[in-house]
Amino acid sequence: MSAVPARPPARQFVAGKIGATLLGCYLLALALRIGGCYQPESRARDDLPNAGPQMGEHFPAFELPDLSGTRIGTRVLAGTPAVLVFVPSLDWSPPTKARLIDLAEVLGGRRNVTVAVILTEAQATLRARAFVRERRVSFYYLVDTDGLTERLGLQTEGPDGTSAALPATFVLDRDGVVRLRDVRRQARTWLAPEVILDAVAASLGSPPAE
Amino acid sequence: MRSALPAYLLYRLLAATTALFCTLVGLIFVVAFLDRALFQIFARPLFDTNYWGYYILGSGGSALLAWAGCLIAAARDPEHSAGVGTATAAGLMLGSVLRLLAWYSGEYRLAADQLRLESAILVVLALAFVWLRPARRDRA
Repeated sequence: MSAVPARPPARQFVAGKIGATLLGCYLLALALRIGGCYQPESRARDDLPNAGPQMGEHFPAFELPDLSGTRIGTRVLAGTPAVLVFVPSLDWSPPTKARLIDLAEVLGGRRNVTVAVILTEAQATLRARAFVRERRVSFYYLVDTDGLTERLGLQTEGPDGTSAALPATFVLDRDGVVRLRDVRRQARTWLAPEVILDAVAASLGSPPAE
Repeated sequence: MRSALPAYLLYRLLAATTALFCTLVGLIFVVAFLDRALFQIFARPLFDTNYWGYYILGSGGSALLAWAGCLIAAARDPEHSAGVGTATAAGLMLGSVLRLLAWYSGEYRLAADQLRLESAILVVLALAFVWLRPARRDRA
């Protein structure tokens, strides 16, 4: 005859239920509140007024290699409106990934608008390259090997101590003049792509072709 | 005893509904794998993934069908299959956490609010499994 194991007391059973309920309530609260972790904003911000060119100024000339090594510069971007997107990282920055996916959704398929995403050399990691490869978005991804980010005053330090760019967006018209600037200290919020599209349309004088 | 009856019936209904859902999703996953690997009947693939993705889908579908079987057993005899309810609640909680992490990763930006909604639904279902589950009764 084998001994029957003692049943756990009812109090323990209820404690398990209460524990699971507390965890469930926490997850529910998280599901409701997580939407505020990061999100687009409909107003441009200028957290660093001295960084980068001002509205109405020409964007400084540059030529940087893309992820495949092809050099892309202001001469290639000239002739059509361009959006220059400085990103901290496509590796360790979830809001930056969300920002680019948002932007790709609105600007990805449009002709006559060139979008160049610029990240520092230290941030051109394997995981960042994998993100770019998997998304297959027709943007230029430029690696700043030339200190452009630093010259513009947009350089910061990533969580691992490597150099990274502050999140910034510049919309240039056909002549390379800045028509919209948005510079932020934090990546948690970003300029809504619709606002960028409006700025592009304004510099074209009509909505950009799809 | 009378007050426990609606909870008992609700638990059986919950287990049966979840089993049905698992069966449907499991069948879709297995059919998608079979279509991709063998028959290629559908003009458009059911999921936008590669052959390894379909392989994982097939495996996941099989697991879901097995889980559906366990839930059917729980719906038929809740007191002798109480552990299924606990395991289901744990699985649903895990699914909820994974969806929140997916939201936070930024990679699933286009499905953002859907992920939050799914996460909330899974938590509510898990809590229902926790609170409606009848006490275990050992077999004689």
